[in-house]
Amino acid sequence: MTIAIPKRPLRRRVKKEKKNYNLALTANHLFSGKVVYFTGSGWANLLHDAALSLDGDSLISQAQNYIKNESFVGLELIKIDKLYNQLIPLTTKEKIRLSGPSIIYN
Amino acid sequence: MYQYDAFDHEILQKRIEEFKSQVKRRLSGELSEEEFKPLRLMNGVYLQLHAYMLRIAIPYGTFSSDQMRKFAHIARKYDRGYGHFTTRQNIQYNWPRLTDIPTILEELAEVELHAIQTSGNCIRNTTADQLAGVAKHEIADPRGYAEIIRQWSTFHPEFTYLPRKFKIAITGDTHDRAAIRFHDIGLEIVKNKSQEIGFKVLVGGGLGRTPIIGTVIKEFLPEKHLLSYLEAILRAYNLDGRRDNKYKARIKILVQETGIETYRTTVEQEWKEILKEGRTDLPLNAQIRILEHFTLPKYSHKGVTSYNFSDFYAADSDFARWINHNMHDHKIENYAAVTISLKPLKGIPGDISAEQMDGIASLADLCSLGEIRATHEQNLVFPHVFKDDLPALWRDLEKIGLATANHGLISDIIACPGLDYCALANARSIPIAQEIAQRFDDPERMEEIGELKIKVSGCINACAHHHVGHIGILGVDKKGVEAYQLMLGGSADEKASIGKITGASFDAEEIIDAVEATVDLYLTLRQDNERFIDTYNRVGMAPFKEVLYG
Ligand code: SF4
Repeated sequence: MTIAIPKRPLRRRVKKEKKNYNLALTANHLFSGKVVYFTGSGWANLLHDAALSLDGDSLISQAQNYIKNESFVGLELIKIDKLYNQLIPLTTKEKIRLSGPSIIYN
Repeated sequence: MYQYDAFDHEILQKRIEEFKSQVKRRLSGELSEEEFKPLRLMNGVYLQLHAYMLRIAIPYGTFSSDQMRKFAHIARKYDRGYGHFTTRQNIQYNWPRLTDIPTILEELAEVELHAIQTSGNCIRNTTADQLAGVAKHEIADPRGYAEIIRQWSTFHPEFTYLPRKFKIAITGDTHDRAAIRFHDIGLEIVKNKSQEIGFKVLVGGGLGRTPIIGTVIKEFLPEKHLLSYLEAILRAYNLDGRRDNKYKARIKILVQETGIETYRTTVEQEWKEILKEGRTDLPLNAQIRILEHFTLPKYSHKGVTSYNFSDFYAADSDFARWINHNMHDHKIENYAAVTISLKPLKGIPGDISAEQMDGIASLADLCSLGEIRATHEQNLVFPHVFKDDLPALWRDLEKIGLATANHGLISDIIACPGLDYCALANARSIPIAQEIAQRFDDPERMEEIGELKIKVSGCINACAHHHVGHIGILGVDKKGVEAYQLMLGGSADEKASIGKITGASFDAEEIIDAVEATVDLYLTLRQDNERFIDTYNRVGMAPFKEVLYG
């Protein structure tokens, strides 16, 4: 089973950065579409539980063992900052993916 | 309204069974994600930032109170209690589970709704003027023709894998409320010298990365040849449209690259062949059978009247304000069409809760013969309201938070889902729209400003049509930080124009100030009762640049 690699060239984008950021691997659950993060031994809803690595390739290859029937889709490596022991995604997009829409809906 | 026949029901059922099996095979791992993705897209299912999104077609924007009740039920049972009306007269849900979607589609089919033609490289749901059938100066109701196009295009084997998506819009009025000049094909119903009905056909319009105003390819297409001519346009595009580059695959690029004259010649040649085959155009009786679904209803008033419209108008200034902005002239004396704004203060443009949906359904039964329209500006319309029912309707709409008197004003903003939901977004759109509406939240100030259309898109795909906003805002990504380009001077109506960028982009706070500075300058520059767009067209960009960038 191979992972559907996202179309955008992740590694190239990441390597362009001068600073070496920690990376986490995120995806959406196939059944519900919910946002999940790779923990190193499975998937979790909380970024707090995510496995971090400077090496995106190794995260992707570890994750291969935990994607039975491609039940996690839209895989993406994301850059993570650590602040007071909290994991914080670097981009606004990933912050919104983590905490939900920034507006009050319904 | 059009009612499904046995054939419509049958093909819908078959489609649901097929998708049910595809989902099952995907969940079991029999289908890979790569294999499944195009199949789900053909059924209106996208994967967004937080969840799946299901987009449901509302053909030409017309739907019934029962269908609205079903939307409410689906919002409650399978989603998070709300839905979102889009800029293509569709509705979408932001949180369904993939596992529930086949059941949702089954439920929708019970009320003759589906998600076909809401995604993928096919002919999408045809959009139409929201006042179709009732607009005072309309030549003919465009919805019958849109229905003919729907029946011809749904599952058309030749046009299921076009180079890119393909959008058609149609209007029966010379005042264009359907933005026909910004569609792959735009159709305007016209009459020739002999008073015969036909179509002015425009081709190659569009927004997105390359905004282009459509060009007239045929000044008068006889009514009976609608389908054969559309087929000729589609065939020429299907053959010659680029498939090597997604960004150059729309028909607008083909028309620009070949030139309209060459493209027209190709289409005419194809058309001749199709006419020779003689099987595409509808026989007259079949056409009449479809058009008959769209004749004016019999207005024998049995509404809720306990007021006299004129007395109430004179007595209540809030009601008068709502009427002034949200009411539209009607073909029939003593009747009106009204816009129900889905842009209340602090609301999300186009969003509506399940409770509000139920409320609208009941009010439509009481006051609009059970009929509702969705507009491409993300509002709703009641098309058949007896004028003396308007005060009671307004009061009931107030109770459900939908009596905002802002249609066409500065707070009636189109905004796409943007970075709050959309996986393609660069920046958030909804909070920007909310902030602008808040900044101008003073009915008198809004009235003083007058008609002003603001449109906010979260990326260059332009789902909120920012290029044709009098003021357009485009979200861009500046190294992971949201920024906003400002555009001025766009217009989607019959005087179509594409907005020009003012200059360097603004951050999320600055853009609100920039809009306010632009509007304030307009108020000082305007002559008589000029609208913003008129003032801009008269004075040009320079004074606005000056005030924005010094
Ligand atoms: S314009 Fe861009 S951000 Fe907005 S809905 Fe369309 S694709 Fe998403």
